[in-house]
Amino acid sequence: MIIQAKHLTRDFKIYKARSSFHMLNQILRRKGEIKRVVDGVDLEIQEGEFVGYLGPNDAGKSTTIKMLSGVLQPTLGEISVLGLNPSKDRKKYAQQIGVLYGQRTQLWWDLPLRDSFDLLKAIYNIPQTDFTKRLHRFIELLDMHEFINQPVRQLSLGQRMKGEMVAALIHNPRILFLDEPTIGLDVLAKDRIQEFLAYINKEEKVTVMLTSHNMDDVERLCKRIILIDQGKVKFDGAKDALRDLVKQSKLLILEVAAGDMKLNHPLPYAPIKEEGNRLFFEVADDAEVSQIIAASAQSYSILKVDIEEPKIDSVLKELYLSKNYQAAPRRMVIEPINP
Amino acid sequence: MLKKYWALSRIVLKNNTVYQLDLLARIVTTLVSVFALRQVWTALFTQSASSGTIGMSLDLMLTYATISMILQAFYGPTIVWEISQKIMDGNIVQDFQRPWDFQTSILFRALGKIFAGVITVVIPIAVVTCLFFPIQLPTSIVTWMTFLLSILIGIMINFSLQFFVGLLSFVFVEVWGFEIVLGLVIAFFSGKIIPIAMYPEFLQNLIHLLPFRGLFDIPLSIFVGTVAPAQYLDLLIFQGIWAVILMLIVRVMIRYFQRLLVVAGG
Repeated sequence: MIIQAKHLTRDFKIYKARSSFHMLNQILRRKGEIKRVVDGVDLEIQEGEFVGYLGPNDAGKSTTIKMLSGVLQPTLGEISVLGLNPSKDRKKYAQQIGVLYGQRTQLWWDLPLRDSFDLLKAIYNIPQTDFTKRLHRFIELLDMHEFINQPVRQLSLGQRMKGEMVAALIHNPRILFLDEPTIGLDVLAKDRIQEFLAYINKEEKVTVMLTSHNMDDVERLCKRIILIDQGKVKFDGAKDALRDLVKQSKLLILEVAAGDMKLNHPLPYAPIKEEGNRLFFEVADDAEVSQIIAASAQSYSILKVDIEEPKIDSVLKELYLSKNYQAAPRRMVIEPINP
Repeated sequence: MLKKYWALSRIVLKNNTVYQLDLLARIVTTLVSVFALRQVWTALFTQSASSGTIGMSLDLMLTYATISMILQAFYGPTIVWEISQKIMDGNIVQDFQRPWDFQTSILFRALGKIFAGVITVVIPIAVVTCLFFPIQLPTSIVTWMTFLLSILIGIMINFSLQFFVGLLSFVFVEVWGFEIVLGLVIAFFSGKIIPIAMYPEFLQNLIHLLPFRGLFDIPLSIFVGTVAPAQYLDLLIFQGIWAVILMLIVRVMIRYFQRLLVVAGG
């Protein structure tokens, strides 16, 4: 067990008027409303996992990450990561983790990108040979030759994010915490970074915990998803199991000859909707697919067959809105009208 | 042990000298200021009959003013803005996430800026002064060593005062006003602009208790020779005690705020 948290809880005191005296109130211990941002979170993560830590804004994701990375002390609960207590053994612990905040930078704005890495070499006490080897490999993997000697302020967002990625990993951490690493990136840069993360996880056995609103990252990288909302863990399991939480099923889309639509044959299976000459069917399990196609082929001449998996995106949207995280029963299979 | 911190100083120095025109402008500004300050004091001393009453000759006063400008290079670079900015935008989490001591890392950041100050202020003034505006230099090695040590402690005091103000950002968010106040208090109570000997007696008594004279008055008095070598140790101890007290206060504050830490941006 590389990360273990038991009943992790963090309170913040909220004052009605959030003025510049906010912290003064806090210091004087004036009464305020206590908001429980993270509420009894239990986590168990094995070495080498790639976990998506998801939840709507304000769910307590960043606060959890900050507690796990040793910056914030939990109000209640226990954390043990790599056998250490992150906030008590802060220095020793910091040496072994990497953290990347997509919205912050740890690079030196006015200096060539390379200088930022040289500084990290000293801060983390990385032996010269390890450092050179790692840096070369990263430059290769992320295609950074062109801009490694350019001042950071001249870099594009995508280039800078590659730099941030290297900065978070150059000291060979065992765990990497990522907070929105692909925010605002174009498709190409995103792809490169996702590829890189997959490599780091697979080849270097770095355990990764990722928060992102970019479902692309999650689809591609995470096998396991932990979902929190209002400070509580609502789901913890395989990505595919998350899809089972909502009623969404696969869609089978049949494109049929336009002339056939007008004939309006009675169908053995009812399509949930029709659009032009396209018919949409809900599919509960894969065996149904061939049955629907076979049945439809009797009434229509089928031009094209498409199957749409429910996207994590829409699964999450439904979950966030409904706040109903209990596993929903599967849709009843519609019996064919004419057996 | 300190390697990581020195690397930080080095990169700050580099960061502060990366724009060459800016560097040149700062050097020119320094030289103009030295010239202007000398003119002001010369005019004051030659136009008024009171010069004798403060027990300082014009030569001594010019030495005092020039060295004061050099000291300004050690105390001037501010870390207040950087600390408060880190607190306001939440980037302070990244500093807390490094395998280093936060206070020490900020100290070496400050030192990096001071090294930049040595290039833009100390060296130009030293060169120009030696060539064109001769001042009275101490001849004793002991005086020189004490002077340098005294600056070093002064840097610690100044660092802690700035750090204190920067940390107030946790409480008041915007601390620019406090920084101005600190600047004024230092200017007034440290002997930076006017030697403390020129103040009325009740103020002098007050100033002798406060830490601010550790920045300018003490090193300057040592340099220009208004204190006897026998007093050196007492002065250094006075500075040292204040430096330790202030460093500890800051340390306790960091601990406290780290526990309360609320980081901007969720």
